[in-house]
Amino acid sequence: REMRKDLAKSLQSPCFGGSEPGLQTNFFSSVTSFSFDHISHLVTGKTHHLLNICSSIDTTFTDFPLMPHIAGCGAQTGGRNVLVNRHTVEKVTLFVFSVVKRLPEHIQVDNPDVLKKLAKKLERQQIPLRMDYGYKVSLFSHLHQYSRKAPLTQQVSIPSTVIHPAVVRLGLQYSQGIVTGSNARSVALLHAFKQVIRDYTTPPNEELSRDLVNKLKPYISFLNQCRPLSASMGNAIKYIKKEISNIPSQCKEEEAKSKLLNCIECYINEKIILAAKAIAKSAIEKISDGDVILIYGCSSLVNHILCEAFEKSRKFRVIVVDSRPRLEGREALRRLVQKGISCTYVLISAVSYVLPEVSKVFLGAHALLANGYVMSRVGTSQIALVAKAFNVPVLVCCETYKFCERVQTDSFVSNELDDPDDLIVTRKGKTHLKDWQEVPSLGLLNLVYDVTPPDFVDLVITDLGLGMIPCTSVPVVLRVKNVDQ
Amino acid sequence: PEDELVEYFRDQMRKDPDMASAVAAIRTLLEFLKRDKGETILGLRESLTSATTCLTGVDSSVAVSSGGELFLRFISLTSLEHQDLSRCKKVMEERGELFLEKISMSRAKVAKLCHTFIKDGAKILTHSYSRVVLRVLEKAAGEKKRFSVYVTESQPDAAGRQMAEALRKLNVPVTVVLDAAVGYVLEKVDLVIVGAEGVVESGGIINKIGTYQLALCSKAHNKPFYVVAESFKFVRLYPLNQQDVPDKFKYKADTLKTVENFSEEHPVIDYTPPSLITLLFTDLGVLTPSAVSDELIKLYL
Repeated sequence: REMRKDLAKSLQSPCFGGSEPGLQTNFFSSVTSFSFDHISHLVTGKTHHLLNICSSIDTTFTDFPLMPHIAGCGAQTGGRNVLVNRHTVEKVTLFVFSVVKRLPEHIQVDNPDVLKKLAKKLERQQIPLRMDYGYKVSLFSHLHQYSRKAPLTQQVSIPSTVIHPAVVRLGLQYSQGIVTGSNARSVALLHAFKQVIRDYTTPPNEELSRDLVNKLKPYISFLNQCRPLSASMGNAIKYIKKEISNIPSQCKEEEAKSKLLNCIECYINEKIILAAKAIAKSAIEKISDGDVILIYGCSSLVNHILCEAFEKSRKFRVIVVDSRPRLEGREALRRLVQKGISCTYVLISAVSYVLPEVSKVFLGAHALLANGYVMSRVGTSQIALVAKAFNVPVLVCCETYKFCERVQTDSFVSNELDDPDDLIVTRKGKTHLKDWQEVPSLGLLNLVYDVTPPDFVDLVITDLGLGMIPCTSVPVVLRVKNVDQ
Repeated sequence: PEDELVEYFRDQMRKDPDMASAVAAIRTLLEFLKRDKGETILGLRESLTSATTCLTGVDSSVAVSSGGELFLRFISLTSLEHQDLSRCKKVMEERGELFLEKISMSRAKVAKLCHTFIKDGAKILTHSYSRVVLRVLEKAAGEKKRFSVYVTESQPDAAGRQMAEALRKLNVPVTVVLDAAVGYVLEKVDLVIVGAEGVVESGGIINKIGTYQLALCSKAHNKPFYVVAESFKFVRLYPLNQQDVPDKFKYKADTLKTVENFSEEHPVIDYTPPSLITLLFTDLGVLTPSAVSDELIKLYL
């Protein structure tokens, strides 16, 4: 409602009275921050109103197959839609609306208004606000940076009436880095939510479908404070909320709860476990005898594929590439060597040295974006770049539940900053960066994700559609998936 | 029945040398369907699959196997609710005829789309003997456009000379060049048009050996590289590099049957990745390589 008022206000402002050069930009800036759903509402609901205003603007608005379609279409076409009016004839300027959903607060940390709104929301939900730590590099000052040494529950204990203890435990596991990896995080989240649903009782005069969703909101804010939600977790939460709100009101509580638990079980089974099996089946076709496969970091899916291929007696060897400060490659190395696969271990700085002997590169993904870009652990895009330069095929393996409708072309806009103190290392008894906070011009940057363009990726192996698709076909799969649902 | 099948197939190829091998294969499969005395739908499907395998034993090109697979999908696309097997078969036969009719028009559709890209005074480079490219050039010549063609000789079977002969009959000035002279001649040409034996999921193509080289050189010279192919050539394959193409497509059918050690044999096809292709002209429209996967998802899902 606020948005509609703002939009109407800006349309009525005197500067819209004539065709002035400032016109377009003014309208743009008031529109692009709005969600598309609201605009479509405005146009259909008050077409005449808008007509009158617009006929003085020299604009063209048309009726598209408006409505739920537009939001969907917008996402599909990568975020551009033209809103044109079938009544007006004044065709002078064409407005191209980008489907920019409201920016999430966790990438607007340098905006004091947003921070104030967030603080108010958290106060309402009785969740402590986590403070940022240390000096932030200016390019990334719009992101949160927390310290692991100051978990959310240290100062203030959170009563179980506010947040379910299973969720508190989960949040701590996320923030301390005990549960890492997008699959592991999603599964842990879903298990915690199952516990929440089991312990839930509908208060009198409330409906389960609405009250439970409201109960989940503070939990999600809390988890966000502990560690920003991953794309897979976001999709899982969307699914749960949809399932909950689809519970018919005459359904008894026990029945509804068991139905929800069943749904969650199904989701985990289909989207994660069975998907991994399907992907492994497709991926094994691409592994031939005598292959030298390069992997980076620890992706549960890639490890699963390699173990499966080894069991099907494919002869190959693996080169595990690792990087500081996480050193996740060591976990992958452990798992593969246990199976009996012959492995080599190098750090990322040696990647161009080792690539001439590599025949294929297998990478996991944190999320696949709607424009075909791959968001994964920091260092992935570097590996893809060097592999392209050496003409080595790069294969990305990703389940469909990690496909998200976001569009991103760089690693700056939306990312995660980890604890900068992780970069401090003690060698031969000396810790050089121990007092980094005291040097005013020094900043430590510990990025978590980066974004790889689709030209570096040769093949995406996924569980829906044809199985093997080029990176540019990700929006097609998204569209097919939405139609199915 | 296997020999009958093969005989019919060879017959079709002989009767109309202008017909694509995939079309002949589909005609054969349709005839097979009509003559089949199977009792169940599943049995019918299995026998059709084995018939396709048999035909790939005669002509191992990618198009035959993709055409066969698409035929099978097309006739069993929607559920057949009829109880009676003979009625089901009738429906399948009708659909088969429809499919055949559609694909017989495909070359004309491709030619219609592509000839507008050939401007007056253009110099075209093409590779080996492709009936689709011939059709396109025929149409362009019919529109009274003046252009000249360079054809690569395309060893080991010198099919390029056949192409040159056919073009001379159309009164198009044509020059045959060595395969090795492609880089030399590219600065003179305006565009490159090739046919395809198969179009793969990534948007790349499988074609006579030498196409990859041609594509690489065109990219280096910044000349547009166009591919003309009918939609039944879209195949469910995703090669990552030259090695990844299955052996059964790389060599001629006779070689596959007689020779044990392939390292002595020379492959007759190669794979051109989508990054080197500008546009693909198909009967489904003019596509960029990334749209091929889109179309394949539509065809197969």
